[in-house]
Formats: sequence, C-alpha cells, structure tokens
Amino acid sequence: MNYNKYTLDRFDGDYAIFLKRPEETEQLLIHHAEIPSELKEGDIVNIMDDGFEYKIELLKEETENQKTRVNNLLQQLRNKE
Amino acid sequence: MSKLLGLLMFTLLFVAGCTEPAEETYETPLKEMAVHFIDVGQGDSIFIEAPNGKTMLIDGGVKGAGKEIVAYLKAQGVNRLDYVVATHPDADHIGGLISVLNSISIKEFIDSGKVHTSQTYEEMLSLIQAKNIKFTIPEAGDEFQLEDNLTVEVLAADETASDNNDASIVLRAEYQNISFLLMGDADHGVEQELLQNGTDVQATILKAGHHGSNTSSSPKFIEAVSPLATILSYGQDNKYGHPHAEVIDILQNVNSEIYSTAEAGTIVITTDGVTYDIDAQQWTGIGATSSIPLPSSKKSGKIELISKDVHEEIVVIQNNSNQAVNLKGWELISVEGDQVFNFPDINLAPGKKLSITSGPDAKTGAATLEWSKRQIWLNSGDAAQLVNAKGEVVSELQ
Repeated sequence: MNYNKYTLDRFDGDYAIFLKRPEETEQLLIHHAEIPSELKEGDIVNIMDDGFEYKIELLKEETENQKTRVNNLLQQLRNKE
Repeated sequence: MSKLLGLLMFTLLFVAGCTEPAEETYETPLKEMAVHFIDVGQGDSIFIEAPNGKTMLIDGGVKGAGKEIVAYLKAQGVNRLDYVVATHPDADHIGGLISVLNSISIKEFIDSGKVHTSQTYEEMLSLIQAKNIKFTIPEAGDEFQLEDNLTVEVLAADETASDNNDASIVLRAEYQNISFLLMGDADHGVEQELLQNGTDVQATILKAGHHGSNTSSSPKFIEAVSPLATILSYGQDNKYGHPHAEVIDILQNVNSEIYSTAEAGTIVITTDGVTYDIDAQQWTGIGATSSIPLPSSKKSGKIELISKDVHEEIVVIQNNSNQAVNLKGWELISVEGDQVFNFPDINLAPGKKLSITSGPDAKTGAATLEWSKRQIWLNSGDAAQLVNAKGEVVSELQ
C-alpha cells in the first residue's frame, strides 16, 4: 500500500486541503466527513489511497518537530527586526 | 468604467470649496497610480504601483502561480519590490511568493507572524532569512507610506488568532479620495471587531474577504464599507462554491459593482486620486456552472457524454442510437487524474441517460452508478473520455 505525506494546509467550506510534501505543489481535497474529526490545520499526516477511500494517519511527532523548527526560524527573523 | 463618481465628487467638492476656505485640495488630480488584481486562479495576488515607482505585492496565489506572477511583474518593468505582504500563511496566498522571493529583490517583507507547519511557509521564512530581507510583523494602526499621498494602513493583524484566516493582515490603501480595502481571508469575526473598534473601513474599492466566501462580507460590514466596486479573487469551478450567492446579494444590496478575476482575468484599476477606472467587464455569474453541453461537431458516437458537473461530481451519458447498447468493457476516464471507471454488464436503452457519480454523495440507484466516494473531478481542466469495449474514444468532454 502506498503512503504519501501531506500537510493539512487549511479547511475551506466542506473540504480539507492537503498539500503533498515536500514540494507542496500538488493538492488533495478531501470532504471533511471523510477525515478524522481531531485533525487540525497544520497537522502533518500520512494518507493512504486504496482507490476507494482514504486512510489518514496523524504524524504527531513530525508535526511537533516542524512547529518547533518554524517557530525558531520565525523567532530569529523577529529578533532581527 | 466609473469616471462618473469622481466627477460627482469633484463637483461636490468644488461647490463646497466655494463656501469654505480651501484647506482641502482633494479635487486636484494627482499622477496616476494602479492596483492590479492578478488572476492567480483560486487565490489572491494584488500589486500596488505608486506613481513614484514604489511597489507593494500582497500575496502570491498558490505555488504554481508564482512563475506567472513573476512574469507579470517583470512585464510591468518591476525589478524590485519595496514591500511584499503575506496576509496569512495559507498556501493559496503565500505559495507563489516562493518564486517571487527567488526572482525579484525585496526591500521589506511583512508577515502575519502566524506560524504554519507547511513546507511552503518554512521555505518562505528561510528565503527571507537567507536573502537578509527586512522582516516585519505589523500591528493594527501601522502604516506603510508608498509616497506622500499614498498610505497603506494596517487595519487588522492578529498573529495569535487560532485560525489562519483570522490572522489575516487587513490593509486599506488611500490615495486622496480613492481608497482600497483589502481583506485577505478575514472572516466575520474580524469584520465585527473592526466595526466595534470604530475603525474607518469605508472604501471606494473592496477586495472581498476569502474569495467571496460566506464566511466573510457580513451585511453590516459591507454597509459600513459601502464600496462602489468589489473585486472577487477566485478560480472558475472551484470546489468551495466561491463566490457564494449570499455574498453577491449583499454586495448588490449596497449597489456595488462586482468584478472577478475568474471572469475578467487580471483586473487593473487606475486612479488619479479623484476618479478611477476599472479595466474589466463586470461579473455576470455566467460560467459559474461547469455543465458544458457537448459541442455538436463531436456528436458522432452512439453513446455520448452529455454533461459533467465537477461540483456535484456527476457525469451523464446518453444512448442516442435507436438500439440498446451493452456497456460491459466500456470505460469512463478522468484524463487529468488518469482514473478509470469500468462499466458493469448493463444495457442502456435507446434515448436513456445514465449518471456516473463520485464524491461523498455518490450512490448507485435508478439510472445512477457509483464510481467512488472520492473526489474524481478536481478541476475544470479535467477532461472526461468515454471509451467503448474496443478501446476507442467515442465521446469526450472538456
């Protein structure tokens, strides 16, 4: 089975918009009824597509690590202000 | 298109000027400035050009739009941007800024300060750092002066907002009598706060929040703005139904003209601070549906694709021959995604239609087959092909 990693970029109307990492040029729209309700904007997930439905797995640690990394980067830029 | 208003204001001010000391010199036309609402499909990208050559780019659409934005700016003779604003970190606003950062030198970068875990946001910050660009997280009340008469004021900014859209930097650019209110994706909550704070939101031209979604543009707020013209920046056949009908109603209730990048492409508004001119046709709403009838020249097959609705995810085929056709071995193909639906062993009677459904509401029933609960038809460029048991394409719908 094929897993791909995505960022949950945002919710808009009935859809969650996922961006395929790392390039994030490809987007995947999934109806909110089809995704786990606990998912939030910014979550990094694995999505498996078996041709019929999506299986979505939250990558908690990776999400946290990425948050820390981006926060640090933002802090460095702020300090330069 | 709306020179009339300016002339009216001119006349009113002129009359007023007869009785009062001439402290206001607003009737004097200034050099021309321009605001470009660049067509980036489903997203935002706005370019402000001051008469003195100073520039500000607000958002950059999705990543795929970046190259087009750079090409557009270069065609305008832009080699340097004085300000680039990322209103909030959603990919349909910051994606294209990656190409801009890589191709055009930037003096100051203004960010919402709202953190996103997307690789795109990280890449954007990394580029700002690597290129040593001045970085600013603004607060409401901050001003960016493009020239003496052209000020861009930050009306709202909230890096602590729980929602990315509500972190949107809201800007109001003022050039004498003519003003532009640029809402980003700010929602009703932000609008209400602006009204409660007594912020002056009145504007000649409004870029409606969130691509014309009903999560923005409340009636009270739009009344307070009372725009003469509203720009909706969205992509044709988007999955979100933008612009929503109630927003159109609300705008029409205040007699605002409506323009959209989806219909008009890039919209350029020029103004001398007294009058303004919009280089586009007004929004009609035609083309909002994607059920395109089959061109008559292609009506050669016996079984034909007669409609494709990418919102409802319904493709309809019809047997236009005088005998029943068995569909075993036939295929319906989504060309873009290379997805194939294999028809079951069923007969389609002469003249009868059959719907192939996909998406969450897909079902099998009377004259209806379920392809998949997934979204198949993602965008308007996704052509459908009907292939017979011999593997021949018998019908095609763009």
